[in-house]
Amino acid sequence: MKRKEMLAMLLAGGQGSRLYVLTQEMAKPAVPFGGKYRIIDFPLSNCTNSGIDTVGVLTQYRPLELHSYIGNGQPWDLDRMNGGVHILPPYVSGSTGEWYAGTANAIYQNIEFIEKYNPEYVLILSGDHVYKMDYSKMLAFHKEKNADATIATLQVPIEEASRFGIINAHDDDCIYEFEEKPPHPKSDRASMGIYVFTWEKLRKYLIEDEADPNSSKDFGKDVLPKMLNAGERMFAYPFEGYWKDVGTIESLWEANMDLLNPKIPLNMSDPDWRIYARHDHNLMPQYIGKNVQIGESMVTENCTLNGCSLWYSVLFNGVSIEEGTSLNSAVVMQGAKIGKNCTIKYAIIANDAVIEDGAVIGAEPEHYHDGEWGIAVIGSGAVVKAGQVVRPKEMIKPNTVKEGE
Amino acid sequence: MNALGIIFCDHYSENTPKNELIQSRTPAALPYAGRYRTIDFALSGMVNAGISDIGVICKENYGSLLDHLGSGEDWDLNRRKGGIMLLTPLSRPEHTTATRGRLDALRAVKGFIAGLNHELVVMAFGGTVANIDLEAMMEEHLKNDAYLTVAYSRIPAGAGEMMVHSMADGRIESITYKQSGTREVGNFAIGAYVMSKKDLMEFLEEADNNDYTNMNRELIQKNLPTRKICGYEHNGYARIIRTVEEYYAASMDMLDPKAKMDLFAAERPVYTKVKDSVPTLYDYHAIVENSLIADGCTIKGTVKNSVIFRGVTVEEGAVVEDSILMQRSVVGKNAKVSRTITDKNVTVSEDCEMQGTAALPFVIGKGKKV
Repeated sequence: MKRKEMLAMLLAGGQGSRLYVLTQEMAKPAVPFGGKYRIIDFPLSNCTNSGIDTVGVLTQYRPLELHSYIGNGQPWDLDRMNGGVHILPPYVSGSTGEWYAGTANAIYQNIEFIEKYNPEYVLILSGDHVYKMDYSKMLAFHKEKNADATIATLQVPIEEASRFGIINAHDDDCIYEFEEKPPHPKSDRASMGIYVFTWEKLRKYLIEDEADPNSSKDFGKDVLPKMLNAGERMFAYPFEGYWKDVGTIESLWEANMDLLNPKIPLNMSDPDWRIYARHDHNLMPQYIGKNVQIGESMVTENCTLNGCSLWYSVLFNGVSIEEGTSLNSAVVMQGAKIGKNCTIKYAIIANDAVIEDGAVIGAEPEHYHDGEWGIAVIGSGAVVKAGQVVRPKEMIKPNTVKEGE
Repeated sequence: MNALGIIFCDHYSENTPKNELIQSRTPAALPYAGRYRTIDFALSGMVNAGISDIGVICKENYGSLLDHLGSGEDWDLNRRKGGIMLLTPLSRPEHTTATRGRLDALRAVKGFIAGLNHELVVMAFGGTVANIDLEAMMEEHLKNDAYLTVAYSRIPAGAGEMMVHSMADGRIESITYKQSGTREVGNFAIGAYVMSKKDLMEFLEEADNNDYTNMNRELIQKNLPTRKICGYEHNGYARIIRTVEEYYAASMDMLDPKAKMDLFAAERPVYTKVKDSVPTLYDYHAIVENSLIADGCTIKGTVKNSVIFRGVTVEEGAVVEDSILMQRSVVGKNAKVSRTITDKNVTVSEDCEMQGTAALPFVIGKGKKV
C-alpha cells in the first residue's frame, strides 16, 4: 500500500456529559450545530480541506447516530480507494478485548490500523470543537521545527487562562512546561487538544504508557508529560482564528449565536474552506409566509414560518412555527414543531420536540441572579404541553412530556 | 418493478415557443422551485417506482444537465449495474439530426433498450413538473393489458399540447391538439408513457422500416382503432413548461401550500443535486413575506411573493416582489425588482429598477449585469 505522510485519528468516543439531555442518545461529536451541521463536520472537513485523506474515527459512547452519520465518508470526500474514513470502535481480540480506557489507550489499541498505512506523522483530533484549521500548516511547522510532538495552541484572555490546559513555551515555541487549569497561569497559550506526532516516537510512548500500571492512559495527563520529561522536542503551534469547545450547553448555544454575528471570524460560506455535512436529500426550500418578522437569524431548508417573529435564532431543517409565536436567541433543531402564541427565549430545542400552543420556554438573563439563570433545554422528541412554562436552566428529558401537575 | 426508464430532455416540437430560459439549456435542466431542475421530477418518479436503469436522451445544450446529474448519486443511481445512462447525439451518429422528432430519438437508442432485460419501458418528459405515481401507472397498464398507457392530467396547457379523449373504460378514443393560446383546462397528456418492451421493440422495428419520426402520429393516432391504448389520470399537480409565461405561473404556484404539498408528496420524495450551502441568513433589516427561499442566501432587503434559489443575495434597501431569482443572483442596494426572472449569476446593480408583467415577466439572461 502506498505510504501516507500523515493520517488523522479523531477521538469521537466521548459522552459529553455536560451537554446533559442533548447527549443522552448520541455521542457529543454527533450533536447538531449551526442549522445543518454536526460538530464532527468541523474536524472531518478540516481534514479533507487540509489534504488528509485517511481518517480513523474512534467511537465508543452511543455510536449508532455517529456511525450512520459518517457512513462511507462521501459527504467529506473521504470515500477513497486507498484510505478514506474508517470507524474504529473498541473490539475484542481472542479472550482479551476492552473498552477504550483513555485517549492514549484508544490510539494504542489501533496501532495496527495506523501501521497499515505506515505514516510518518499522526494527527490527533477530538470531535468536540468548532473551528476551521489548516492542518497542513501545522504539519509544515512540525517539520520545520524538527519536532517529535507539536501541540496547537490558542491565545486566550489571561483572566480565563485558568480554565484551560496551559502551555508554557520559550520564544522559539519550544515547550518547557504543561499546566492543567493553573490557578496562576504563567502564559495565555491554551492547548486546543490537537496534536501532531512523529509516529515512530508516539508509538514508543504509547507502548510504554500502556505498560505503566499507574497511568490513566490519557494524552494530556500521561503521554505528553512523559515525552517532555524525557527531553523530546515538543513545540507549541500558534493558531489564530475562531475556536470553541462546545462541551457545555452554554458554549454550544453561544457557538450557534456566534454564527449570527458578522464580527466573529467563522465564515461558513467560504468556498475555499467549506464545512461539509451529510444532507437530507428531499428537502424543499424554506417557506416564509405572511406577517413574519425575521432578523439576525439563520433558517434552513424545509422550515415553514407563519405569523411569527424570529430574532437572533438558528433554525435547523423542517422546523415549523405558527402564528403569534416569538423566538429570541433560540436554537431549534431538525423537525421541531412549535405551535401558536409561544414565547421562547434563550433556549435550545432539540430535534422533533413538540411545543404546544402558549408554552413559555426560557427567559432573558437580566432578571435573574448569578447561578439561577441558564439556557432552557428541551430534549429530542419531548412534548411541552399547551401553556406550560419551562424555566431558564430547566431541562426536559428526551421523549418525555412536560405537563401540569 | 422490472422496468427501464427513458427520459426525453427536449420538446421535439416543430414550433418550439420562444423561451429565453431554455435558449442555453435543455428544457429538462430548467431550474425550478428554488433548488430543483425539472428533470428531478421524472428521475425521482422513476426511482420511487423502483426503476434503477434510466436512459436520458439529450439533444443539445445539455452541459448544465450533465453537471446536475453527475454520477447519479443524488438519486441513488450510481450503481454498479444500471444507473443513469446519458444518451447523447454523438453516441448515435446516424441520427445526429435527432431534431426530426421524439420517435427518431427513440429509434436512435434502440440498441440501448434492446440490450437490457426488462419487461416494461416507462418513458417520461424531463420538462414536466409533476410527481406522477409511475408504479401505480405500470400496475394499471398491466391490469388493463394495454398496448400503450398515456398519462394525462386535467390542467391548463398551452398551444400545441396533446389532449386525450377517453371512453368510460379508460381507453383513449381520440387525440386532438390545442390550437389557441388560452389557458383553458382539459385532459392533457403530460409526457409519461408505459409500454411493454416487446411491443416497443416491434414498433421501433416498424418505425425504422418506414422511417417514422412522429411519435404521437405513428404510435398513438394510428394505433387507436386497433390497439388498446389507455389513459392514466394523474390527479395531482402537473404542468408542462414551454413558455416563459408558463414557467412564471408554475413557479408562483409553489407559493400555494396545497400545490406545493401535492407536488412534493412525502410518500414520493423529489430528489435533487445536493449542494453544500450554508443556511440562509436574514439580516436585521430583512422583510420577507410569502416566499420560497433556498439555502445559502443572504437577505438584507425586502422579498415578497417570490421564489429565491440557492446563494442569492438581496442587499439592504432592495425590494424584490413577484419575482424569481435563480442561483447566485445579486440584487444591489436599493434596487427594485418586480415580476422579473433573473437567470443564474445575474447582478442587478444598485438603484436599478426592473419591472415586467405577469403575462410577460422580464427575463435577465444568465450571468448578465444590469
